[in-house]
Amino acid sequence: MSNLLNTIIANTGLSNTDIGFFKPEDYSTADKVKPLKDKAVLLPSRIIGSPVEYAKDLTKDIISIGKAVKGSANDHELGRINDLGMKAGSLGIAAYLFHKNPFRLSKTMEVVGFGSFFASMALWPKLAIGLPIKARTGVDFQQEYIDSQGRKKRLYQDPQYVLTDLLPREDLDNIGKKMGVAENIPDRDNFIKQRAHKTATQANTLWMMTAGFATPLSAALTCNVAERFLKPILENDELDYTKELCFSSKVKSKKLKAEQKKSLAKFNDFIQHNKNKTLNDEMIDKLSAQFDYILEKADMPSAKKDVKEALKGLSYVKINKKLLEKTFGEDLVKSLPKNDLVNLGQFMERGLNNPEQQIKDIAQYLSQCDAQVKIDGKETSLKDLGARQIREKLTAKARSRKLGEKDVVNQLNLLYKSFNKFLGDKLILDKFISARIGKRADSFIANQWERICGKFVDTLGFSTKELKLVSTGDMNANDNEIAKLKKQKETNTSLTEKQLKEIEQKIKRLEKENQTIVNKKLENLVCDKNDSKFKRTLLGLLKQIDKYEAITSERWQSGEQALLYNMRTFTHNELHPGFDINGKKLIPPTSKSHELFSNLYASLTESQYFKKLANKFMHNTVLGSDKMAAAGTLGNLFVKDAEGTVMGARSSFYRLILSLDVLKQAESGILRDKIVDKLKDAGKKPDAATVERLIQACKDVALKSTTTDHIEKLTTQGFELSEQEYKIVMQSVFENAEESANIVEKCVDKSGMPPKTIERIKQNYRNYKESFWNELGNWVNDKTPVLSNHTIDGTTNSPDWVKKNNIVGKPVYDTIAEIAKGKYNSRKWMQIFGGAMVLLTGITVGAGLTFGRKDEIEKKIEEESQKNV
Amino acid sequence: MVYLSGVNNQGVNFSRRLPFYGEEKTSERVKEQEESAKLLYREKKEHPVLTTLQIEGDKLKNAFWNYPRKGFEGSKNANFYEFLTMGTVPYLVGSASMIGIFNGASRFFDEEAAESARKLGKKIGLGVLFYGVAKNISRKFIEEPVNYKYGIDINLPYKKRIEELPEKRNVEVLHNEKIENISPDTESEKDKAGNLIAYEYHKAFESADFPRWDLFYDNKDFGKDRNSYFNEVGKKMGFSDKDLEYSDQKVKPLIKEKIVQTNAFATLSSYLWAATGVGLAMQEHWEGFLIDPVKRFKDWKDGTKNSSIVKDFAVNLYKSFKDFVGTDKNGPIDYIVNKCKHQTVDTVKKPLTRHIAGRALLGSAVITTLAGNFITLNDFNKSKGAAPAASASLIDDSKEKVVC
Repeated sequence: MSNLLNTIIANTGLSNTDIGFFKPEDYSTADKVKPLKDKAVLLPSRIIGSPVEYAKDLTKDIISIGKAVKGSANDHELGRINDLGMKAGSLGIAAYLFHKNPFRLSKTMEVVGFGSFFASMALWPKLAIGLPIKARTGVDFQQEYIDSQGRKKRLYQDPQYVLTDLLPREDLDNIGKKMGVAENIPDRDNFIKQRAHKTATQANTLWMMTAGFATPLSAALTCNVAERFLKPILENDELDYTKELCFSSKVKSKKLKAEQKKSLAKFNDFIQHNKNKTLNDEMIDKLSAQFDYILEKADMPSAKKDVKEALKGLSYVKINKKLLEKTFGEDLVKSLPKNDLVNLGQFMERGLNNPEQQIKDIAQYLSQCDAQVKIDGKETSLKDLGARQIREKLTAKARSRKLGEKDVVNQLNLLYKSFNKFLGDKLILDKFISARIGKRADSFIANQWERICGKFVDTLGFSTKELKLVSTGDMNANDNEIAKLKKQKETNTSLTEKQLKEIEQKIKRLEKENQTIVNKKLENLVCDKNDSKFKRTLLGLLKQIDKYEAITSERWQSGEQALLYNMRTFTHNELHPGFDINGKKLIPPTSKSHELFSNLYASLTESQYFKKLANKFMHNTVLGSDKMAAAGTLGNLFVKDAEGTVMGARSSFYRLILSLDVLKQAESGILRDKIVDKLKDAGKKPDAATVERLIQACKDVALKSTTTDHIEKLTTQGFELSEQEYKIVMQSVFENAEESANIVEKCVDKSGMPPKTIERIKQNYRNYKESFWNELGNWVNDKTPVLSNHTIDGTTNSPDWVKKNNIVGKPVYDTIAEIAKGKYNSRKWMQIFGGAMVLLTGITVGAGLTFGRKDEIEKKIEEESQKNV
Repeated sequence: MVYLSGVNNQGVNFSRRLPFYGEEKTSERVKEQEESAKLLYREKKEHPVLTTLQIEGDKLKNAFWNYPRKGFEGSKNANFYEFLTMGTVPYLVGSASMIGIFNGASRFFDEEAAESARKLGKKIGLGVLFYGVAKNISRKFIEEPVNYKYGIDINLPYKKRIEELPEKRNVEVLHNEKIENISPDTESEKDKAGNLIAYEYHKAFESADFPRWDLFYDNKDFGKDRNSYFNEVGKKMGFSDKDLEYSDQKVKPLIKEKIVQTNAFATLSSYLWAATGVGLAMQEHWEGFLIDPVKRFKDWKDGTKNSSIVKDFAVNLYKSFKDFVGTDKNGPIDYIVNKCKHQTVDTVKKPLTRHIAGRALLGSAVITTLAGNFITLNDFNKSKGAAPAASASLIDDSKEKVVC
């Protein structure tokens, strides 16, 4: 019996003293039987384990799968397989989402999300629960040990099986000291162990109760913060990568090449499979379906029809005398007069690219010839046969080509290769463009927009509530206070007459001052007494915009914009129908896009069968269809889109500067003087009402106006302006004032930046104002309907609305509202979930600090023992 | 494994020890044994759903209420079972938080931002749901065939009666002093004799190291014989009647193997199925799936939308599946048929990277399940006729044997 007991004691790792009410001394054999010496080792407590340790654990996990297959794994190993499965499954999810998301940032965020989820799962108990409890009580409830069988476990995992004996003396003393256990109570160690055990049980429970909230919350918050840091890194990375991809043939994606090879092999397989089949309509359908994938992926579904037509052209044998002899017997050619033969020969020469028409023409001609032919042994005249029958018979003979003919195979291969290459190059170009001006959240231009305008909105200093109001449609700043006062006036009956009067006056004053929140913020900025904030904002913005200019001119204008320009000039000059079709003679390729189109065209035009296809394909897809030659060509769309986006953003940035400029001028009286002078020059009397109206119009031009507003001469904004007045307004806003009155230039001059930079910034701003003035200042509305004018040669019909739109940019109010919306959303999100996290952490830490306190009984014991002493 | 109240660091309570085999068995002791742990074989067979619901309901209630309360008080009766049962809490709360994070904030946003947040939120919500459903159901792909072929139900539950220690006992014993009731006991339940009791629901095969063999001996639910259960399993494993003489000795190691294999593969594959479920939920088709029952009812009333939620769900699931693995417009079946007929299948769109990723995920889940089935349902020609190590010369068959 005592044997069994000791075995139990040994297995549980308890010392004799732990066996409270059951005393082994009672048994006579007890002193002869000793518990087995345990080989367990306590691991040092730490927050993050070493990578070597992780690698070792992973190896053990994988070995345990092998053992599980054999059926010999133990419970501990099965538990580890569970952890491994969870990680594998989560990794599977992350990997899938990584592949599903098209963009670098979202891809990376999947990996970050996966990592942060597991990191929070592991770190939450250690940081939020373990650390405070350890600091207060000395108990590390996450401490691990390796048992006699080499299994790694948590020391306090099972409350009924705690190996407190493993704790070294200094740890015990530390716990006792921190918990305030009296020095002289009997069986002090045991007392401490009990308290440690109790604390760990409490901590375990707290962990289980809070982990569900903490893990997703902290993972989401980590992702949110990580995104901000990752964005610029990934942005630069993508810009460099796509540039290299586009301009360096070495970096060409191996994957793409392999894919192209595979695709071509598949196409050849198809030809081989059907080599004995005639190229009839059914086969052409099947054959052209082979091109569908490429054309759809290259966004050129309209070219499907062209491919079909080209293939149809390929399906005819050469139409010559031989064909006539084959169809109508050798006698026909002999019996025809020489004159007819010459004419027929001309038909045969002429329509090389359109065999269908050719046969039609020949049949028509033959039906008028007076000759006898033998058909199926019967003699009949060509006239009796008629044009239709002749055509049918000729067509039947002409379309007898087999898919496996060497010539046909070569031509098809050529065609497929060309399209394949075109697709590959276009995909790269798409990536290149998407990284820069893509309409997506993490493209270069979107990031710049957020950076520059975001900083401006930050400077204005909106509260969260104001941000919401601004983003959902501006509200007058004093509305709330006025409503409050009015309510007070109505409901509070105990007010004296004097008080009522005061309230009324206050309401009146507030109503007079009432203006939109954005206006008020701008006014605050501009009317700043010592001007420091205004200057700081203005300079900050100018520096940011200068950076944008530098990056766009470096990244865009030098290489990339040239690339897109080339595409346009190339498509116009070199691919226009009727030009020299020999691809080799074309101007040497200077850029990717140039090469892209020239290669396609060159390879297509090598074959006479595809002359027609090439022309037609280029015409429909690259240049636009015949009927609408000017609209929607691929090259032009690329260029227009790029130019427009870059320019639109640039104008919107400068408009922020312009608004500050105009508001400051209005505030300091410069604008008033300007308008008065101009009115006087125009021979008008500068009465106060007109001047006031024009000042307001100037402000609106800077802050609110759209292209439509300019067409309607600001009547849409509620101004009744004569043409002259409109011009005065535009002049006052966009004219470059003299040195002394030029607020922006004065500010830049004093900025202490290098002179070159100062000059550049000043020049850029001047250029912007000039181009605005040139496009819209002097502009007399001719009521031309608004159409986007994409022309083949890139020239524009006046007025170029797209250009005008891009110069006007986004109204400042819209910019602020848009940015405010984003800011409000992220701020609110942070407030809700960041707040929740702070609250949760507070509660958890607070609860943790209450653990391990003496309860009433323990206090009593201590008191008793003190008395005994 | 045969004592009643277990061990803790205050002591071992042997006062209510179970009888060891070989000791005289009184009817009271037999009753005690049955009470201490009862296999719920018949209950599960007769009312599988009800029993499962009852067990899970009880565990859930305890996980959210009783065990945390005990845990926070640092009760000496808190044990590993309670800790593990509380493990459900982070799972459920975590799922809810996940849904909450992606859906909760949308009402503060403007309509545009809220709409995109809602779309993502819906997918995340369904992802959490699919994860749970796929994880739990997929285990059955491996567990059920094993149960069907060998009669080894890896989830066979038993109800365990725990006799708890009074909270202050250690203090009393330690100092041989009576201390007045300063704080009342936390335990809520007491039996007639005044013992503190609690019930736990375990699985007979939850531990591969120590399966509760004792619950299968002499269990009338399996038959009259002492070894009825092992005979049954042995027969299903292909032992002849003659070989089944010491069926328990022969079959137990084999059952252990099956437990390990089934557990390992059910676990591994379940996470992969769960991942597949999440992948399915992430497809764009779900964005338009209307869950809100109020809105659905309104739509139905207005006549704008008549299809039921079940039909909508099925349609979206089918579409999502197609998007997930990237099938052509004719459907996967056409593809396979055409491929078999060696007809041209070139109209099929080439799979995109995400389709390949989807196929890889689904494929890994299917392969792990099939591998699990293959390994668990094969005995790889294990010798079945060999005599057990403990032969008749060592043990007298006419007497009961010690089994633990």
